[in-house]
Amino acid sequence: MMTRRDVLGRLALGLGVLACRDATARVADAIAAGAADGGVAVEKIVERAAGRAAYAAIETSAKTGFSRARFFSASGAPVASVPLDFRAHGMAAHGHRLVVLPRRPGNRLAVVDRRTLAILHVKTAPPDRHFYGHGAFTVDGAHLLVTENDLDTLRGGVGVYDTSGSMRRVGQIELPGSGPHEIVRDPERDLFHVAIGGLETHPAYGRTPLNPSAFRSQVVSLRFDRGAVEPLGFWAGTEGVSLRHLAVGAGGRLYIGGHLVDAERGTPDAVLWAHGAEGAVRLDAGRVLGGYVSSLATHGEETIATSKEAGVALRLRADRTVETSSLLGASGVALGPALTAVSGFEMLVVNGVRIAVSPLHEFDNHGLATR
Amino acid sequence: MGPLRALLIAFLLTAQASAESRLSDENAALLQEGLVTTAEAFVRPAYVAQSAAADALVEALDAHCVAPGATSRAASADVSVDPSVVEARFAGLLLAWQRSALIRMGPIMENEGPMRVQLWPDPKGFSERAVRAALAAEDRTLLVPGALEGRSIALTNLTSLETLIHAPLRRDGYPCALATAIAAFQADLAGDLVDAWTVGSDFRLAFDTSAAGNDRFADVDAVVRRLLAGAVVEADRLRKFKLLRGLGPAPGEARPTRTEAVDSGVGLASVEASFRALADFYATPFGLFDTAPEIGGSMDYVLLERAASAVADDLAFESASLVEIADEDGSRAAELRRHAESVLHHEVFLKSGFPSSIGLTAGFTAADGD
Repeated sequence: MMTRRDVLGRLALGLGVLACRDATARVADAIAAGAADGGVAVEKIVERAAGRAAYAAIETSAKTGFSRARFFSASGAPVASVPLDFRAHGMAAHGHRLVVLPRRPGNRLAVVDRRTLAILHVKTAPPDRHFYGHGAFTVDGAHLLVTENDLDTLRGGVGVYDTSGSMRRVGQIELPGSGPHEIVRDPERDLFHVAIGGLETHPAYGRTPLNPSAFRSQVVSLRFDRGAVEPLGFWAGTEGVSLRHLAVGAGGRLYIGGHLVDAERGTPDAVLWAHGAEGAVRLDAGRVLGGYVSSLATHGEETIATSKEAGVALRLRADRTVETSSLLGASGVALGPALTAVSGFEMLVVNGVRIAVSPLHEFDNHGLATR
Repeated sequence: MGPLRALLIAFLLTAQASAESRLSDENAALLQEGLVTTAEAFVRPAYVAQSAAADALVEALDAHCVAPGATSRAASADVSVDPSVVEARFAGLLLAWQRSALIRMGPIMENEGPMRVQLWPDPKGFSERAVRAALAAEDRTLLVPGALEGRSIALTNLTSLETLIHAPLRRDGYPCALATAIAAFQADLAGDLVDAWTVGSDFRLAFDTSAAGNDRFADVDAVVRRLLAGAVVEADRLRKFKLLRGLGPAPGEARPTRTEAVDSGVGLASVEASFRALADFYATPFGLFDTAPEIGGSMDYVLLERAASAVADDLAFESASLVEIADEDGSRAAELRRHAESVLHHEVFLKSGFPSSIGLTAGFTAADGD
């Protein structure tokens, strides 16, 4: 029978976990230890904490090269963290599931239960594929689409996962090019957009592109119900630029960010684009991004574009820059109802609150609004 | 003012002035001096040595190769036509590159980057296929000076040259001429790198004045960051590819044919050259690391230099080849695996230990893109 001391001990353990350590492992230990009321109490603490999370950041260790997903409340308070055994990149969320994808050329992704912060599954790509760091759920959450590299052909594809049960891979969609990176979904329907960077890479050759002088990048739309891929065309002015990051704005307007790979063919100004009814438009704001867009986020009429190279975050409204701020290593960004979050190498700013990175770590490329 | 705009303004105000150099003018100037010294005493000399080695190989191939029916030029040349001379000079070029390879910033990163010099590992066999295709076609236009510019790196890199030279290389015929053309391409490439790192070039001007900020480098922080990021990438290559790819992570997992430079037999010398390069990079007198302690920089580079030197010295006395060591997979292989493990200390120092000691953020998460 549990004594009061045992219950208090477990509650203290839970609070200690939330304050300092990996909530997932300790909570799992506590729950597995058996005593019903103590275990349930700890579980409720974790669930309450997880429920406060408004933003997820990726923090990567200099020592191990591995990442952890760190959760913060809308007031910038650290809520919990989930350690991973790979270097993480992008994330996607639906319902209680948060998927953390590996940085290219990782081949394992983690599915985290946002209620308990437990890692539910770790999925491995097929032997002839690796992930490209991004994924997106369908509107109903029944499927997860993940960008992939075919290691035999070096062509890009999208892996399709059935999210019921243990998240089974059920199919793949071929893409008309190499190096797909970010995939995003229209808010209201299963219309996806994929930034196909154009660069051929193979892990055996490191991360260096194999075709930097000849590649061509494009964005395609993907109607999931039909499995139909509709290229948006090769846009004049994107030569030498690898288009990699996307955000869907008001009215379905697409924002696209890339980075300059071949200075012989392209210019560093041509890394920020918008696509709407009028077609593709190069945004002047891209001139200050140092030839590199780290990440994009939109909410309503607002868009934020970040650049690690230039160390800036741009706030745009109606495609025009309204504010520019400096942030060393500006990268991860998220916008949402009552949420603005931007991270640089050493600092994350959530709704104006500055949060220092953990020692020997850096905030990595992307973040995610979790509400 | 809507709530979102208020939040954004709050964010912007707090994030202001975070991206300018974090160094005082005095400290930035000191680091700049150290960088210039490193450029003059380590980087440029490495490229000069590479260029000289490439020129020497071209000379040897010029003397070795004769056109069918032509009189050997070797009669009037001051070099032997012994094919082992060609092989030795190829080895010299490959090993000279291992030193330069530690530098992964600046002109070497243009186009296909370091793969222009050496495409290894090459598990898809791009180089071998390119050589086979070229030999089958016997395209004489490739032999015209400058013709290989813009051609596939699979054909023009040192891995292809190694294949040709160790085929073995007959004195007459297309293969010898193609090897000469590739060697000349590499010589031109190395020469361009020397020029780019020579005082007076556009790149050197930008490098040497980064403390004041310019179009290429916003501040000296950016130079330090890129220099260290590149060194981390090469250190990682040393560990994962040059050592562990062939040795495997544990006994029983060695695959000798996956080691570097199997045909030329200089795989172990290549590893030695990489450790020596690391040691000398740290130890450059009045270079970046030597100067940094004046502004609180970590002295760990002294220990790391000694550790890297010790490994290089040890490997210099090893008579077995890397293939033989991997094949035996005994105590020597185990020792090399431990050397691979030791490279992690270098990586952590370069990624975060050293930068944070001088008040810089390494930006290691941006080292090689997304």
